[in-house]
Amino acid sequence: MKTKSLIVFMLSILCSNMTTKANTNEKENGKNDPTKTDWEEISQSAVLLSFLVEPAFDSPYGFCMIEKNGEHFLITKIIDNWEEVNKQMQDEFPTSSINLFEMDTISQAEKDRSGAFNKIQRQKRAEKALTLYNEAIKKYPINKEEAKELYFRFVSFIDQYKKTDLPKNDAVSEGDTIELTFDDGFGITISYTKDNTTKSVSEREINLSEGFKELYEKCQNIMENL
Amino acid sequence: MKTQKITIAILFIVLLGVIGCNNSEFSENGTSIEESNEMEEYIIAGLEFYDAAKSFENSIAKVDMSSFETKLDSHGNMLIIIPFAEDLEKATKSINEKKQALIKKFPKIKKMKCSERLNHLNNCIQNSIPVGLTISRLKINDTPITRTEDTYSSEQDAFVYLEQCLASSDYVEVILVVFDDGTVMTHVDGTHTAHKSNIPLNKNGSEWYTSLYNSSPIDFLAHTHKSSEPSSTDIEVAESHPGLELYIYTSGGHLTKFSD
Repeated sequence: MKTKSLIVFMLSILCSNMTTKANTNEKENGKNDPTKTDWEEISQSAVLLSFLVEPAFDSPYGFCMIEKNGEHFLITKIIDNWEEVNKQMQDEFPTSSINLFEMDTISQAEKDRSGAFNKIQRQKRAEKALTLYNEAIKKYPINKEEAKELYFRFVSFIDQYKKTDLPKNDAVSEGDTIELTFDDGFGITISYTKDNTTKSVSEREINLSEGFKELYEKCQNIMENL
Repeated sequence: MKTQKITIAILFIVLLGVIGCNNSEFSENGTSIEESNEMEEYIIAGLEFYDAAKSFENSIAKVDMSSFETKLDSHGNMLIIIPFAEDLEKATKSINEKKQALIKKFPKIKKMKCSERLNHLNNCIQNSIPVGLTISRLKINDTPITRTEDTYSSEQDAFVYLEQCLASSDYVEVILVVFDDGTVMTHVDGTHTAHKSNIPLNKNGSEWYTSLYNSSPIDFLAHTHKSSEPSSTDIEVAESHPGLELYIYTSGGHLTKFSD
């Protein structure tokens, strides 16, 4: 199970000191040009960058990089009892289903009640799961040069990021034909913070652009080699 | 339905021999051959026999025949003891018993032409839920999923196909669409993966349509999952498409509604 509240929860863990969120579409007249950025100035921010992966049916995971007393650290986080908790939630708050062969005989009102009931059960699961999750947090020192390189890579990529036209599931206007997509893969969000402002970009696994894919693989390698 | 491979398996079973006399295609209580429990059980026994024979073939290909134990029977014939033949023996016994039960109930079946018997078998395969589930369980139709739109006259036909897809090692999500006019359609295309599927949609008034079948509005739309849980993106899709009835389809024909 994964809900919006869980995403918010994970983001809040990973980016606990981030206060303001800016959209990449907000241009800042070259203010974020990495070549003009003073590293010492940037590292005043407690959380410098974050990398978050959100699988559809598994624990979100990722890392953030922080600076503390002139030292830099990667903080990795994952919910280590995610599967157990979600199994428990499914047992505690079961959803209802209708057999395919009964669809013709069940009234629309009953189907709607089933949908509404399932929604309530999902909400209850999400709320209670948040109280049961165990965060596995690990802290690893990273040398300044590596930290700087990674930070600037994030800054450079995010500032130059151009959103491609990906299939959308936006609301449909009458007469329009859209491609409705059910995508249970994972989403990836990367962000950096400067001057208490966070800029982030997200993509779905199935539609990763080339640059995003490279950065994602680098971050995955970092996590695997810690 | 994708019955080619199953038909081959069943044809193999039929050729084992059902020979004989004369009677009605209906039993005394009026049950037709293809609707009878005996026919269902015979087909299931046949599928299990086919599966056991396949396993036996695979096992025997991997062993050194000279390592088998041998002994002489009371007539002095040499017997080879094959340790993994037990399942095949059981399956052979079972299919013979089911065949006798079927012939006892429908004696006419022994006199039928092969094509006529095959029609009864195919009708039963296409309409029987226990047979469909056995096909899924044994993964007999474990061939790459055909990427296409198929329309069916009933949910049962679609059910068998969906169960086969869910059990397939080549599993990708399949979309099931049931229309207001009763038409049932499954949709798979080359972009589908085990975690992703899509379908073209358009809206007319409060009704949802797909260009794959324009004749009727959509009654409901489901996509297959291994578990009944919708993903967060499924929920987002539901929220951004009000009025579209959305379900998750899981094995056994269970539909879990996740739209409002």
